[in-house]
Amino acid sequence: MLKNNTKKELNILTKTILIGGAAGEGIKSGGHLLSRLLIKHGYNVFLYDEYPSLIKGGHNSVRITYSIYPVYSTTKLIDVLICLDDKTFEEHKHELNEGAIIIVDPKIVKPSIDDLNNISCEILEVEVSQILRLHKIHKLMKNLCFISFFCNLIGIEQNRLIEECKLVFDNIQNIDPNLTAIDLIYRYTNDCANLYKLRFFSNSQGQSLINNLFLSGNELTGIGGIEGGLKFYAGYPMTPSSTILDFFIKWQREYQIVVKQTEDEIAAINMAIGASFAGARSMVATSGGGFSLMVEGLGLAAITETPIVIILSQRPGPATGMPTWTAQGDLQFVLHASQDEFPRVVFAPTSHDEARKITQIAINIADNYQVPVIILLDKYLSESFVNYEWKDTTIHNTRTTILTEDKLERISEYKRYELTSNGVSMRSIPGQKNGIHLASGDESDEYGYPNETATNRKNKVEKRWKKVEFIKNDIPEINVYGSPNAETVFITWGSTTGSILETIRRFNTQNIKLIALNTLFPLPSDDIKDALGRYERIFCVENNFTGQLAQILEYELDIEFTGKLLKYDGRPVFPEDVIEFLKKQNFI
Amino acid sequence: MSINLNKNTNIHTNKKCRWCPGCGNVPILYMLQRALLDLNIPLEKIVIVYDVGCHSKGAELTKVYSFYGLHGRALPVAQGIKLVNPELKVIVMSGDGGGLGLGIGHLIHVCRRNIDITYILHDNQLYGLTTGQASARTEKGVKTKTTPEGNLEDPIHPIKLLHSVGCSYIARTFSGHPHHLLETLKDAINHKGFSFVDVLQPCITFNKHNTYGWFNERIKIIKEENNLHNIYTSNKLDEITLGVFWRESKICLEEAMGIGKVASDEIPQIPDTNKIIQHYKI
Repeated sequence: MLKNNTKKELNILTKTILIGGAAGEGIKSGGHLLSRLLIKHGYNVFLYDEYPSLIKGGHNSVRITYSIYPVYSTTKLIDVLICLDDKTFEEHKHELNEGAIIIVDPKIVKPSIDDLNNISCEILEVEVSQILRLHKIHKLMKNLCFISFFCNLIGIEQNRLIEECKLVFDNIQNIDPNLTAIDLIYRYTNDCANLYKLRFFSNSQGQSLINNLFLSGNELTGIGGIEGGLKFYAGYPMTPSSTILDFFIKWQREYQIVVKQTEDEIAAINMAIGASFAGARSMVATSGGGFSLMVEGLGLAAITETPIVIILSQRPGPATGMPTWTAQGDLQFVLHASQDEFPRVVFAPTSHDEARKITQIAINIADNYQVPVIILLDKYLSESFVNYEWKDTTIHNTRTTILTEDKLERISEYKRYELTSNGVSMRSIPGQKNGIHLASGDESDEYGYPNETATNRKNKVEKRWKKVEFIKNDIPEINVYGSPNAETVFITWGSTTGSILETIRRFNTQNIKLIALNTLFPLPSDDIKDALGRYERIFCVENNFTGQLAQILEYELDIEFTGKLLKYDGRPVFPEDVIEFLKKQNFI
Repeated sequence: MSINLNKNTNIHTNKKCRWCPGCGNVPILYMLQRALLDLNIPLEKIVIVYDVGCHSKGAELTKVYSFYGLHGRALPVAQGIKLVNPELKVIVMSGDGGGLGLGIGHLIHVCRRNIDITYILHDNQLYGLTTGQASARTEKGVKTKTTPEGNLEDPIHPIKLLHSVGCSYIARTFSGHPHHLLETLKDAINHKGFSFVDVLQPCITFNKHNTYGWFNERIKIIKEENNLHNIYTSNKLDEITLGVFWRESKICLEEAMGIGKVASDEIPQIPDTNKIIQHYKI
């Protein structure tokens, strides 16, 4: 990703469109339609939507960053601002890039040049409301009109838009008003056709991404679950994890997964523990508030050594916080959640692709080591959509610590919690003969019977902790990008990784190395040390106030950070934030 | 009828019983073991999920697959087990503390789902294991450790409550009446759907009000089922009725979901993802 050309050329090749309007105006569906068209014309796309926690009214926007190169994140600066309402202009006028175009209906928005802070922009007017009124077309077609205008401007042919519209809105009974709206806009704006093709669309590569999928981090997480042999999923709706529940409801029959929406998150995790105890690979997903309710269950899974995967998609808190925005504030919480201490595995996928792979790995690790595994996502990764080139998984499912009836028959005195060299004991499941045992939330002996003697307690604590050294062999490899000899090192975890990758790509620099951690516990300390090598400056980038990973690395690896890029306003870390940070550090 | 301790049967672990002599938990557990033996259910097909309370000392006495969960959370664990393996016979043991206090939400929702689980409420009208605090079943005016001037709150009446949320089987019995207890438990276990058995039991150590004598004076067995008047008067204290209050045949959630047994000891294969690919393809 560091092979790209000059800075200037890259600016031409990567553009960000922002479509904004009131909630309910079809901002999201319009964004998806446009994204699919761009992908079909050979562009990589990263779509991120921002919306308040309500269904109608309020301000919704979708940011679409597209490039002929892989896109790792969206951007703060906007090249095309499509305003369905005046609020869109007000909210985003400070984010306009040099040379941006602003598309407005002059009846709705009248941007003044004074508003633009000396940034040279062009304002393009299209009389959408008047055209719709004149031809008696429902105002719901507004989003499609603006998109049609933009498509015409950059040279996307009308029939390609119509074709895509039919595909995307195949559930609409009467698609004709949509098609009429497209036709009208193309005719009315005929003289604008291809006007901006050179600036926004000239590098179209045609059909090269035609086999790509277009899906979100949450959907890829769900796919990883299916590939990992998931058989039980329970959840209570909570943004930004709710679409994982939706995903499994959609696919439950096809993949024979028992999916249960529960009365609360406490029920969700306890049900999943029950299902797992019975032998079904089980998972739950929630956000920080729901995880707070699940914490007692986390400890129950740990002491009964019942496998469980918990997905926590972070959002700003505490309490309700900002439900539909993004944050990375829960790392230290999940590392220490529950009374007392026990090993758990904590993952944080650094990309959409890793969300899929790590979920499959997580399910296998949970089952084989009989430990709780937590996967940290956030709103930014969960609900952003990318074009995705499908490759079949190369990860094998294994099940190394579960007994069969045949094996149980040959065991004379079965001990469910037998003390072993790696801390893991073989597990039987209900229904199997000779495997009857008690799984207990009380500290128990090797058979599972409650036992409070000092010796037993010591043995059991040590048994549980023994697993950690062995789990280290099964965690995914650490991600290292950029030149091995770079003097400047960035360390990230989870979704903030994308913005650093985007920065490296834009500056085409050989002088930045990025270490992106996907596993936070057990911490791959040796791998981090190896990856660090010799460096001059080291920075961390996190979506929280205190630098939660940085604190861990300072403590565990004695790293002294040159600076910390910390963002805690509910918005993702954009590449522009990284560039600004580097400028402040006198790096560029 | 004397209590058969089920010693020398396969279902009893022969571990030491750790309840107070005369505790109501003893007949409940031993009659449950007897019911399971009488019904000839293979022991490996039975799972008992225990809440936390005095009753859960039964976990180490009964040789079936058992899960001893969190206080108030036995029901979700049991539902997870049943939903992934409907072939198992799943029983929940809970007290009135965990069941009607902390965990009451789960009890209401399981009734809506009608999952085929038998729920046995050890109803001793207070918190025994924490040495005698008031529970959601403590009568108004009764003095306990936390209500030294008499309980100011009304108790929950589980029979009326569960009927209102669609519970498909509701019965009440008494630990001091082992024969009625045994027959009720067998009947409840045989019921297809969620069955709730309220077992009144004296706590001989901490409950000086609801004693064996107190119960014996008031208990009356009713034969007639599905009589709304009996449900309506089930909270009366001068006459405490025992019997089946409601029995209804309706589809269980695990049947309605139609997925069946997914729990297994096999290594999961990577499924064919072609449908997913086609669905998300641009």
